[in-house]
Amino acid sequence: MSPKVELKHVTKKYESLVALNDLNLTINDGEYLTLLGPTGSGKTTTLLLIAGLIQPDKGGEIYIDDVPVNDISTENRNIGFVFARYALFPHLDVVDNLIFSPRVKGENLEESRKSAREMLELMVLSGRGDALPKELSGGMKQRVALARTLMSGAKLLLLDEPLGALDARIRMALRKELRKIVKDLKITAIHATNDITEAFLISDRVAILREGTLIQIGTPAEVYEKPRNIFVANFLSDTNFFGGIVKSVDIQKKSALLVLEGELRAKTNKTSKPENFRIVLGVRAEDIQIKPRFSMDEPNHFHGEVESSKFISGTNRYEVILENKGLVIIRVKASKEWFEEGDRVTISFHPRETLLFDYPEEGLEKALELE
Amino acid sequence: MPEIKLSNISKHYDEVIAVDSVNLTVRNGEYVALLGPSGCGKTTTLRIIAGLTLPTEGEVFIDGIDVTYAPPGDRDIGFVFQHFEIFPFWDVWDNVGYGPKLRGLDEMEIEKSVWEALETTKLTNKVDNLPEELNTPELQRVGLARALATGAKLMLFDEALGALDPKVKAIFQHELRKIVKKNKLTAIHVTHDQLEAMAIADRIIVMRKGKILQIGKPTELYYSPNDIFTANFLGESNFIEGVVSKVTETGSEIQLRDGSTLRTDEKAIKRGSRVVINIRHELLRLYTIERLSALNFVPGKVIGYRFLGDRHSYEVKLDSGEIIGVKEFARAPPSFKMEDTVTVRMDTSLAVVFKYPSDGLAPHLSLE
Amino acid sequence: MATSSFSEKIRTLEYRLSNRWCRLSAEGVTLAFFFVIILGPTIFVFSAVFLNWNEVVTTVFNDPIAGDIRWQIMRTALIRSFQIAAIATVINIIIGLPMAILIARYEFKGKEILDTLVDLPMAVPTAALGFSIFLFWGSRSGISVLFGLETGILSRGPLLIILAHIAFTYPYIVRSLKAVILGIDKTYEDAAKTLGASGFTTWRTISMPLMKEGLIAGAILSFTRSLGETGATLIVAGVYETAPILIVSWRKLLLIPATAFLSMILVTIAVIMLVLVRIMARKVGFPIEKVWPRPEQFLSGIWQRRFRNSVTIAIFLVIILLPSLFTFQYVALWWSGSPATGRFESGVFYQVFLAPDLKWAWLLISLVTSLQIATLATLINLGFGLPMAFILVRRKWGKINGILDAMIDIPLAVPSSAIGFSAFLFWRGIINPGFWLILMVHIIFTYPYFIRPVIAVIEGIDPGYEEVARTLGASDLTTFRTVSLRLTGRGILAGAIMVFTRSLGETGATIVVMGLSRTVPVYIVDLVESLALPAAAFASIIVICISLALLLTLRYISRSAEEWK
Repeated sequence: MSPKVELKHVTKKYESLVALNDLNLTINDGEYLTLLGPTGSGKTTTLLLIAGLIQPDKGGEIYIDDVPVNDISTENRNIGFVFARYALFPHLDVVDNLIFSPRVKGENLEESRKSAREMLELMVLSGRGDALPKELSGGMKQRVALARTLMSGAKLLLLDEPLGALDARIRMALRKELRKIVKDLKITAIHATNDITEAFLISDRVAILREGTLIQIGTPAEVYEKPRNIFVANFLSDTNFFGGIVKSVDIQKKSALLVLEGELRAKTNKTSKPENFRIVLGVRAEDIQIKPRFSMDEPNHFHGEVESSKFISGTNRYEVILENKGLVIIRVKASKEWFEEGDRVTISFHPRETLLFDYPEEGLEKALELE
Repeated sequence: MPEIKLSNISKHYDEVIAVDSVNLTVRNGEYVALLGPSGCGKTTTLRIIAGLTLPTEGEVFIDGIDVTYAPPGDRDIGFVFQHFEIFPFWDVWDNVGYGPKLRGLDEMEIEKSVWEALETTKLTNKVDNLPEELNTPELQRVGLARALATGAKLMLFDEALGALDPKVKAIFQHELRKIVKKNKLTAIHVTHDQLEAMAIADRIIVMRKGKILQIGKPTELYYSPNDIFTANFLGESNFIEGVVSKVTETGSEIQLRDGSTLRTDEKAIKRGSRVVINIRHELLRLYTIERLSALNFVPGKVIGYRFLGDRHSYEVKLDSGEIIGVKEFARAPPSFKMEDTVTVRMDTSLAVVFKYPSDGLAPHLSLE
Repeated sequence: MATSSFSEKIRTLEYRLSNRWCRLSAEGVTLAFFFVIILGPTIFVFSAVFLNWNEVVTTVFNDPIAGDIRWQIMRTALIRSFQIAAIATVINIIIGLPMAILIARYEFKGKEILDTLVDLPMAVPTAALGFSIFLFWGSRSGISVLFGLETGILSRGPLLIILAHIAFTYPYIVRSLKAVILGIDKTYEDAAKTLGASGFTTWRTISMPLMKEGLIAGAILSFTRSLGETGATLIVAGVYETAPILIVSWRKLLLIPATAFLSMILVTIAVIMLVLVRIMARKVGFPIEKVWPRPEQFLSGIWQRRFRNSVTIAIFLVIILLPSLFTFQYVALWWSGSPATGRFESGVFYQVFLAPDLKWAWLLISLVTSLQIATLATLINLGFGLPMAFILVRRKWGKINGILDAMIDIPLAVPSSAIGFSAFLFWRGIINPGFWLILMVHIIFTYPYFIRPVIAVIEGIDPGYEEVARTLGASDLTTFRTVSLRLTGRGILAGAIMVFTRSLGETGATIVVMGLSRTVPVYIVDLVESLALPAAAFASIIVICISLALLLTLRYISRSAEEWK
């Protein structure tokens, strides 16, 4: 059994800065959880707190397997930690790095050396045992860091941006490997990252943090389909936001008519808001169709002109300037026919594929701010 | 608007060859990306263009003038660094104004070019801030504004977006491209991120181990890579092994290891030769039809599934034991679950056939 | 407009001067200064010895009257110096390392103050320090009051010398160890803890091996400083002679060849030691194979840690701080008369200001001389040391860089009285003993004190800043003026203050070349030798206060520099 982790009312302040604000979080045993958020959202702080490398402010409690660990020092918590910059001991070769943990725990060194060699094989690092950390490439260092942590036998793995220092392409390759290893070993893992694709690819559940506060937690599909607020919607995908008001609600047809900025009319299936209520309509870039201009004056059909057209890895990304000067971002699967800059187009979206939010009190821009 | 030409540029550090006989022309007003893994020589190439590093061999021309040994200050360039290097002792205004001042402009002109650069980069409300008071995206903008304010028409970006969060970076890529295009600048952009290169550049130059592998538009590199490394480095691909079983006038047939056959329009191969078929994840489709034995249909089993927002990503194990990736752009719930038996339809019209390399696949698929 | 065209002119000039030839000639001058002014005298001592070898033999080994008695004396003095330096260094590492750890890795109230107090003895000129320590341990108004004794508990001699040497090298050791510890990425220690290592095991297997080179360098610095110390030793030694003191006394007796020979031996030892450090630092290993989890876990307990920290602070207070500043208590007690007899004429006030020999006037004159020399030495080192620091960091000459870098430290390792004597020989006939020769000597021994912090700062500068400036259109010289200098500013100031303080506190080198001029530390030695203790105490306090003010400035600067990063 791998451990379960619980944080109750955990707060961490540094003088005037609130790094973490009343965090309540349960990580189930054997679960792979990602802490996802922009720089300064409290991801690393959470990991350091669970590891015991920093202490929570008064009132906060952390449990590992239902045991309160506030008074247990790091070395006795039996956790594994992978650091963003790996922290491989520069004066020790790869094998000595790997057997550091067995050594300080007084385990049999011969046996540890043997399992270190097996570990190196598993990590495709055979023959690198005598190398010093500075002689390894970035990808190798990352795998040694992971191997060293696994050698400690810990069943709770804390990963702080473990792939953040790598080249983009290697990062893509390694995240799949990472999930596989963790799952094969049946370890509980908590992984901090600011990369949405990484979070979705790697984890069972995603916890989205912003400015030290937990905003939403759920499986990738849950948080993606039902974002709690416009920050989450914007952070997880390229979403177009239109401010507006609810014009009329048709309860029977389960639809509502909206009037958006610039006199655009839109229909949505989300009807929980009363008439004349101020709202923000969100439409994801991939939920918008783009067609050559045709004259149709219906809700959810807007006319515009392609301002930029770019092919990115199997998709076409368009920026369309609407007639009311609004900018809409559209992403579609690349096909043989695409639009060039200057093409006149009509864009449309289905009433079902919309997101409806209350208009944020602090204003749209502030609510979307990433840092 | 400048044109840059590198003629036979090499750079040696003791034993290491960082850049190996690079020839390159960047046209007026063009935005190119130098793409490759760490240590491929892309940054060294950029620094040679800037004059921050001197080449061991070869010449650099800007607008037809040989500038190989000219100091950076004489080349009229703007350079944005990975860590921005905003002078810590000056506020935003003084940082941005440093370039124009060095050019001996009078007060009015300095003020005008600084203000324009700050407006372009949306920094007009940060004029009096010191660097320590700014966050990373803002510092990045100051770095850009400082380069723009010099009025230079050639911009060199060295992993200039590398320090930004992925989300911020994805947004700023498009903004940066717009700024470059609107001001009619020529730009060379070093990055290791293939998505960034595709998002930002008119043409991409793929480098590996000091050499240029291929130059082309994003679609050219993506759908017609010259070699296995480039095919693997851009986007996500499957590399499926096979043997050519038939060559006709319109194409060829390739037998995979599990016995199924793919028809491609590749003609320049010999019957009986060993090949690798490179096919993009999103060019594959899954069907539930069992054991359909037709051309371009390959049976397999779903062994992995991940939800990625706008797409579903499957891992399918073929009967040959090979594991391939399939990407489905769709907003509906996933059509398949783990352990489902499926048939994979491979659209080979955009697939690329490579000769099986004599030294094996691994060294060509290595990303470092 | 006028200003604009003026700065425009400067930039044009800088652009013209930013070429290869101008740079090479500037570098030539810088290197010439280093080799002739700084290294020349030290090397010259060799030729002085070999050219007059016969004379050396007759005076040292084969004197018609004394035989080889001088050789015997010299050998004894050298052995004593080494013994004292070794003992002081070992004790210092034992009591200094826990203090460095405490300051570098713990957060507690009063840490800032403790950190400043640790640096204090560095500000006290060694002569004043020696005097203070003598008052504390060796006079009847010192610690013996506690025990009701009529005399000091220690008399002048080796024990008192060791105590003095521990006190004045302590801040050097703690300072350099602290810097080394702060330089170790704390993540390594965190990583070790997450892998299950207790605090003590982490220190032994991770931190210690990582700070190895710093530890050895710190030990050598402390060793050489102790080996070469004159001022404090003169006061606390009594009849006991160490090598640097022997140089002073032989120089006074005008035994030139013998002194040259002794100086040469000290220079040779210094160079050998510098080479040894560079080799040893790489070779020495720490025993990290075995780990004893239980006992080491026990040692890492919170109470054990608290105990260790308290003992560390207690030792510091009793052995280092109190003795170093005891003069203040003495002056307060003796200000208006002897506390024992109440005689006004024995008091500090009468002795200094009212006594017929006008001690205050002499003090004033020597103070002016001291300040002049310190200022000039600082300015000259600023002018020639700064380009040298840039050359060392930025020029890539391969092995030559390493050799030059090691040579910078030679004046640090050679006892200052030997430097003084070498300079005396080198400039003989050109510069006579007196103000200007003192200045030359002070330039030499303060040179590394200026260059080291500046090099550290330059190495810390991201070369990217300079590259940005160049891509923005700045010529090399404009880049240097507008960017590099701005970024090194605080390092330069820190170096300058170090030079000033060291120059102000130096005794040994000055005594050898002073002629009729006097600096304050030398004047203090004179006063102590003529048993004018109250006046000596007063003079001590004056220099201590000046140095203290400078030290506090230095700390303020380096702290705001940290915030800047």
